[in-house]
Amino acid sequence: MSKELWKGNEAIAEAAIRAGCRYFFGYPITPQNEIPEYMSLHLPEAGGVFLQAESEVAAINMVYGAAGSGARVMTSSSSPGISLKQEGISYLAGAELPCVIVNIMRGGPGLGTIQPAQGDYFQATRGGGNGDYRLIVLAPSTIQEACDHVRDAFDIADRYRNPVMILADGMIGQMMEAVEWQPSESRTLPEKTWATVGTGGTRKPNIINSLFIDPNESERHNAHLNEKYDVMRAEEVRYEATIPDDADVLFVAYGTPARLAKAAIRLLAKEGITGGLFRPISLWPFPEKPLNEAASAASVKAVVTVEMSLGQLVDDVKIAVNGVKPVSLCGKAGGIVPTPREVADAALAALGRK
Amino acid sequence: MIDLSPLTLIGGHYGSGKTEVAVNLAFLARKTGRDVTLADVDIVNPYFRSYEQRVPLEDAGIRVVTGALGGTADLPALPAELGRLFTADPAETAIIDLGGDPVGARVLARYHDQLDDVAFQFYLVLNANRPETGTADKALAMIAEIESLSRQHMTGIINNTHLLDDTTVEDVLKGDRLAREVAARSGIPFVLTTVLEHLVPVLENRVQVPVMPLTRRMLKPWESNKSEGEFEWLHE
Repeated sequence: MSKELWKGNEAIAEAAIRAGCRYFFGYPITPQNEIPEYMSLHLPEAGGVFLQAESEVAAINMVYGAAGSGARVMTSSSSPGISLKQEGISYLAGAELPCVIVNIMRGGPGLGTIQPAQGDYFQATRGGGNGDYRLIVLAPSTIQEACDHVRDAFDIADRYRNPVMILADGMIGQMMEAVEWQPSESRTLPEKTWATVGTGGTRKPNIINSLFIDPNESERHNAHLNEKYDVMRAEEVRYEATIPDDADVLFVAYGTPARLAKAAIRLLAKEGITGGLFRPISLWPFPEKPLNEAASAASVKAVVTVEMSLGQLVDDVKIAVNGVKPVSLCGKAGGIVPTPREVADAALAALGRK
Repeated sequence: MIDLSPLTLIGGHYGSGKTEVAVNLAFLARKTGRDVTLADVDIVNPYFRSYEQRVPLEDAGIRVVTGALGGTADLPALPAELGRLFTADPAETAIIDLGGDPVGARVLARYHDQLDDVAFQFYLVLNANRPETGTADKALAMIAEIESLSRQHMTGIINNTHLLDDTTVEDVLKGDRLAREVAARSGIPFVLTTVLEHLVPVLENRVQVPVMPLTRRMLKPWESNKSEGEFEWLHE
């Protein structure tokens, strides 16, 4: 197929429709408004339902309902709106309901700003809601990748009966890039025998629930969820490693900062310094082992985490690197994007050259 | 090359490249020695807007006007000085960079009393690679909606068909065919093609309208070496 020019947000919406999403519930917030706007126009054309809810809380509970009936369903929001959805996300995970949640992050905390940021890393990877649950979190750094992630996210959600989050900063949502639509691979997914679609008088009713009053039953449920998370840890790790054999410095970054790190690597090359990039694509499960191996390479003298937050991703980087190399942080928050020069300078500082 | 005086309105689908065209037109007009004002009146979208280029624009002697909070908020607020620009003072060139889509062009409805009394150009920036304006039917629907919400008729079509750095001459020619069909069916003249500089010689004698070279200024953060004002392009 030929390439087209798409804006990140509208491409995410189109990718969802192409992936079979037929229900979308949301509430407007910048910088993700083109997602519901596109859905409102094009989801009905595909025979689906778009509904602007009265709030983010209502929207995520509508997602719960649609997912419970076995439909492919998505919601999207931006940082403060995603905070409002946290109770629903915990319930979805607890009730083992598949859905896709898109967070186009803006500056925080609180109402923050509408410019791009990555301050919701902890919330996405550590669980902003209550209880022992996990989301698979995918972080695109191009519009093409955002489309591919959305396509995969619905399958992953169905496979594990678990919510999947697409986590992208506002720049990814707002920028324009060329996209080529790829047909999705046909995967064998489990039949949704658990969905509440009517018994037809032939079986016991399915019950969608995250309430377990008997603590023994609750403990068994948690153990079951954790076994599922272990499979995800084993099978859903994604990353990109572009690391020359003689890399002096290893950048770790996702989303927009990964693009900045690539630009910084080109600047450093002119100054005789070789840089590599390790880009986690699944933020949970985090690519811990591959990152440790990359950082362990003999030539690497320093690991520099680049993030549009002030020390969130770097925690996972430190856990993964586990002391084999020094880890430092190049972070900016509140809606300001670091420049490639600032990222390059952070590497020079980490190498003791500045 | 294109009629720029005294009042030029730039509209179209979001992502068509309106802002890139508006900013480049401002520099072009300034080079002719005219007194130029660029007004960024996008009240829809806070990203990739012409106000971000205020430092190089002002360095070139171009006045820059925008809405509330320097355009960093998506507030439907318009600066009072905008009203003056719609008087179409013959001593200057005012370029109005509208927000995308019909909703972005709605701003003009606020000034329709003034616009009814002056001469102006209202250009549609058209990109055939944008799926929502990729066919003549869709582009005509976009024009009809823009004209309805803005309460003004569009006066010219600018073919700005591109795929950013991946743009080929075939992309531009595809846009040329689309623009000609839209012009024929709408009665709005096709007036200009805008392309990155390296494509200008390749297009020679292949399109009927004037070709204006564009300098890419609306760069992504990783495409620019400095935060503001300098354009060392870091090719990916």
